[in-house]
Parts: sequence; structure tokens; C-alpha cells
Amino acid sequence: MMSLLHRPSSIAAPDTLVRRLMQDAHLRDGLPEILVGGILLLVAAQNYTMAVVLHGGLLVLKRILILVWTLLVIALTFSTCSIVGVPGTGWLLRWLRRRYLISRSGYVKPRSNRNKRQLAMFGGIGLLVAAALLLARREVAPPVLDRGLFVAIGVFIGGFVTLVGRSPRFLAMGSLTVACGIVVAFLRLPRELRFAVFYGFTGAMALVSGAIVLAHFLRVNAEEE
Amino acid sequence: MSEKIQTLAGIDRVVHEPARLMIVALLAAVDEADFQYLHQATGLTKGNLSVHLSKLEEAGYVAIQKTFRGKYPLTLCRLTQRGGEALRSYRKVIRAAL
Repeated sequence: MMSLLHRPSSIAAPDTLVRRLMQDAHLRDGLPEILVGGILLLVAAQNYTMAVVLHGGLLVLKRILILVWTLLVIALTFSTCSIVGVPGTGWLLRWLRRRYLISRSGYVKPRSNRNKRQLAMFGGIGLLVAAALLLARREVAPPVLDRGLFVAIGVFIGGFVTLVGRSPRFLAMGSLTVACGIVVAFLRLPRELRFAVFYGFTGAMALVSGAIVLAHFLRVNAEEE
Repeated sequence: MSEKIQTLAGIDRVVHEPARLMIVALLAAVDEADFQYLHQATGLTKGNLSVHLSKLEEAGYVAIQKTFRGKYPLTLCRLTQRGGEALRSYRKVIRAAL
């Protein structure tokens, strides 16, 4: 934290310093990564179940399961991530911190309007990519389209992770996510299984990274007490 | 050039002290933070931090609210408007002079 104050570029750009400080405050305990990793693993499990366990099963059962699973993932995402402008989001993260970490780590309330413009920009790019893929669906052969889809998802999620984290560990995770998207794009597997591999890898990576950060955070703060 | 350097003589000494500058910069980045968070983020001892927070409160740069969260005492600190202005003008002076 202190080193940020001594970095000349930070002094020249106070907004950058403010953003970094807020990101540090939000990501210092690894909990957001653990929760997001859990959600991604849940999505991977959903894809795996659809592709392997329920392969050739009843269509109605499949649809009901997809609906229930999707609602669960949406509920978990809204309770974990503080979504700009949406009240009541991120309560699970706040509750976990209040219940288990506040006495060790202290309380800090980040500003609510962080990264608004950049997140909106990324949302816009995501919509453009989705629209381009929808248009390409008519023109391009399915195997080529699938490859493009996985590369696009890898680049989009990898870029998003790097932008949100703004630190070497998130840059590494973002790069690995892009690499995973490219590798998965060329796997000779059904689409749902490839999604399972992609989300399984990124989820496990986030979970492991978050667990290491949390363990370090608890150890450092226990030593200080 | 010498005029620019001379502006440093009128710098706000309350903000200029490194420990207090750290506290003000941290509080400028968040809505509010408690004593424990500032203690960890700055690396200052609790006694030292307490003294510097008192000085910032006296100057009207930081508002301190003592409350409870459950059974834990909670000392909430927030940068006041005056504190924000002091930090901005401090940056302006430093940038102009150096």
C-alpha cells in the first residue's frame, strides 16, 4: 500500500492511485475470487451434467434443470458481486466479511462509482462481440464459429479479469484465461463439454488463487494481533 | 522558478507529514474506513495512528465517529470536504513546485 504512494506515476495520476487503493481494499482478502471461482465451477458442473449425465435424456428434465441451475447461478452472482447501480447486490460477500473478517482486517467502504466508465465500455464490447457472433452464425460453418466463440469468450473474460484486478496476479489469471480459451477452441469435444473444461479451469484457477490470498491474509493478520 | 519553489513554504503542514499524508490519501480513496483498516494499510502503530488521526480531526480534515458493530467497538473515519480540499491543494502546490 505504501509503495503506491511513492510511485511517481501514481502521484502524476491521482485517479489511478484512488482506483488502485480501492481495488486493493476490495481484493486484499481473496474472498471475491473464491466466490467467483465457486460460481464458475457451478457453471462448469452444469455444462458437464448436460453433456454427459443427461446426454440423450428427457428434454423436459433437461430444460427444468437448466432453468433451476441458471437461477441458482444468477442468484449467487448477484449476492456475490457488487453490480454498479444495482442495490442489494454483493450482500453475501459483505456478510462473510462482517461475520468472519472484520475483527482481523478492519472495515472499509469503497466508493460506489468505481470503474463505472471502463466497466460500461467492457459491457459494450461484450455486446458487440455477441452481436457479431450471432451475425456470423448465418455465414460461417459451425466448427469455425465454435472456435471463434471460445477464443472470443477467453479474450473477453481474460481482459475483464485483468482490468478488474490491476495487479500481476490478475494479469497472470487473465493471460491463462485467454490461453485456455484458445486451447479449448481447438479441442475435439462437444460444445457443452468444452464449456465445462473452460469454466472448470477458470473457476479452479480463481478458487486456488483466492484461497492462497486468503490464507496469506489470515496468517499476516494473525501475526499482527 | 524561485517563486514556484517559494510556494512550498506555505504548504499545509498538517497534510505534509508522511503518516498523515498516508491517512488522508487512503481516506480519499474510500467512503469510510475504520481504525483497524487504517492501522493495517498504513503500517503505523496504534498509538501513532491515534495521535495523527486526532491532529487531522482537530484540523477538521477527518470526521471520526465512535460506534459499535455487534459487540465490537468501531471507530469510523471519513475525509471531510475540507480534508479533500486540503489534499487537492497540497497536490497542486507540490506539482507546481517540483
